Amino acid sequence: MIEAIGAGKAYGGVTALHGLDWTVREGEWWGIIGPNGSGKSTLMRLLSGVERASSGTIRIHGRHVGGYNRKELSRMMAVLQQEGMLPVRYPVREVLEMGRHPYLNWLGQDPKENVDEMIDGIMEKLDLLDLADRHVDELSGGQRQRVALGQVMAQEPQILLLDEPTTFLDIHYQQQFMELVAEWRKEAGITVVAVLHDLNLAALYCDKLLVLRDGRAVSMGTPEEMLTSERIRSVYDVEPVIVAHPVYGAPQVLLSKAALKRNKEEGN
Amino acid sequence: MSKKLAGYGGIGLALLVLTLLICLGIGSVALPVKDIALIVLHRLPWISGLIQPTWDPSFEQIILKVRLPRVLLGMLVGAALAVAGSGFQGVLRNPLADPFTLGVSSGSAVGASMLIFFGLQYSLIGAWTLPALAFVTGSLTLWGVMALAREGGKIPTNSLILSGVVMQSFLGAVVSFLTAMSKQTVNEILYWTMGSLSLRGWSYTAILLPYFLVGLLLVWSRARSLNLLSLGERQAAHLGVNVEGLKLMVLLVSTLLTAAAVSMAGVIGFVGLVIPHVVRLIVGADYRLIVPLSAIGGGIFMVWADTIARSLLAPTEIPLGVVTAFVGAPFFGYLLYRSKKQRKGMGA
Repeated sequence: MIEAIGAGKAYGGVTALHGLDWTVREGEWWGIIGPNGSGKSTLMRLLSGVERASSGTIRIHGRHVGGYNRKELSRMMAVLQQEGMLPVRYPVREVLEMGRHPYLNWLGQDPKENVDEMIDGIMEKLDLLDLADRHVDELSGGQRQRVALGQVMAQEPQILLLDEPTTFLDIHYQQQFMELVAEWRKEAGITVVAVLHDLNLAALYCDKLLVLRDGRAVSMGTPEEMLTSERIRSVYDVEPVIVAHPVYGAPQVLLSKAALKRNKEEGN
Repeated sequence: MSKKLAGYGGIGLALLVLTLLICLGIGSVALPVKDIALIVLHRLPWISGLIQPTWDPSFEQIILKVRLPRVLLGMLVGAALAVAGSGFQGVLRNPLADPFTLGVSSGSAVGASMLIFFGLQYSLIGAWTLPALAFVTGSLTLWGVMALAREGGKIPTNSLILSGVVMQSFLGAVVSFLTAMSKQTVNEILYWTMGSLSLRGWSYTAILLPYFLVGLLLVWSRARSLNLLSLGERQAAHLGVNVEGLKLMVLLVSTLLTAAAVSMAGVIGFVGLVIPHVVRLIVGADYRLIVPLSAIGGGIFMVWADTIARSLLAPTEIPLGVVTAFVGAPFFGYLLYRSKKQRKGMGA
């Protein structure tokens, strides 16, 4: 369980996030949406504990996030960053094994038995077995993103934070990525918090959405409640058309051309 | 990994022993390798009884009093600089980082030059005055560079390298100034800044050895974290690495290793930069291999460099820093060229 209690963050004199009150329950999949500069990434940095809130607190499982050391924290929580996996010169398998780092003792031993089988299982699931000995810097963007996902899977967290994980992927890999996370959640019961730019993906996969604008929570609730034309218009300053997904019924956001033109004219 | 380490480490150690035996034999009096091996083995406590002294006693004097301390000191200095280099490259994630990037060697050189300039190099604690002060000023420089680079409790890599470069050019100017103002006919400052291992006795080796071993173990123990750091600082933090603590620790240890080596042998360039790169090109990006193999490689490289320095134009000694650059730079260029060609071949 993650709780933000009046959590805020200021850089210099600029407030990036104003006192946020928000609760994520175990097993939920939250999407965080909002325009650029709305405080999404700031919130992710506070949740992952790499930065401290300037006001209020973030609690993970009832304890202040700063009260855990990095190893304890990374056993509970894994983070997949926007830039994903850097093109490093390590074999794929070794990069996946690096996900076990939070569990290793000072001799570098993993207390878990059958780690090799576990890594094999992950690689099979992510279709990485053929790439096991290839270096990460020889892989394509989509393959690297699968390696990054494999690493966080090896980390066996209870909470997964995703920061715009599909930004650099084509629609094939976008869908594949979201499906893999959904399958993982179903199997392991993990909690997922994902910053997403793609509102339609968010509506399809997330249980709940948190809408941010100018560092404040505009609203939170189910995708059906959040993705209304009124709210999208006021948050993103666009003219949307909301339709129900013909198969799943989830709201999908379309843009209208004329509206964009009109906005432009008003802007001038 | 451990198989790879045993393999490469075994080859490395064998080359190191071979290097020591050959280089001990090179000099004004050429000594046969067999006698050298017997003389050295004879000195080891648990097998000395098995070996009958069949060699010329004067050989023993040359080996034990003159060449062995020098060769071993060279090995330790090279190893220390190479380990420090691998530490800097790992923490700063910058291929141009080496023991000199952070201004440490220039800092040490300033202390040493001051002493020589004022003719005080044998005051206070005798022959130890110069290394001791060089060590102190080198460490102070690191402190200054870190203070300059610190931003809100963190040390961003970019500003660290910038502060180092700024500090280095300033301190380098101080050394040049002192060199220019010095009225000695044989310019001792210039000579010192170019590095030398001549006329150092056993005591230098004895002091550097434990120092180097502790430094090596500390950097090596962080190798796994350095591997994770290459995924990016934030990603390493997400995988449980205490990034700021790791950076501070490895920087400190690497700096102290550099300061120790520089204070004893003067400024010897290129080892800290080239050796870790060469090792990386051969064994890959894993710091669990890079750190120990850099130590071995640095030792081998420096012993050969010093052998060339003292014997090529004997009895004139070439400054050690000149030899390391002469040998190191083209070799590095060749390796770079080869690896580039390999990568092209793979891409096709």
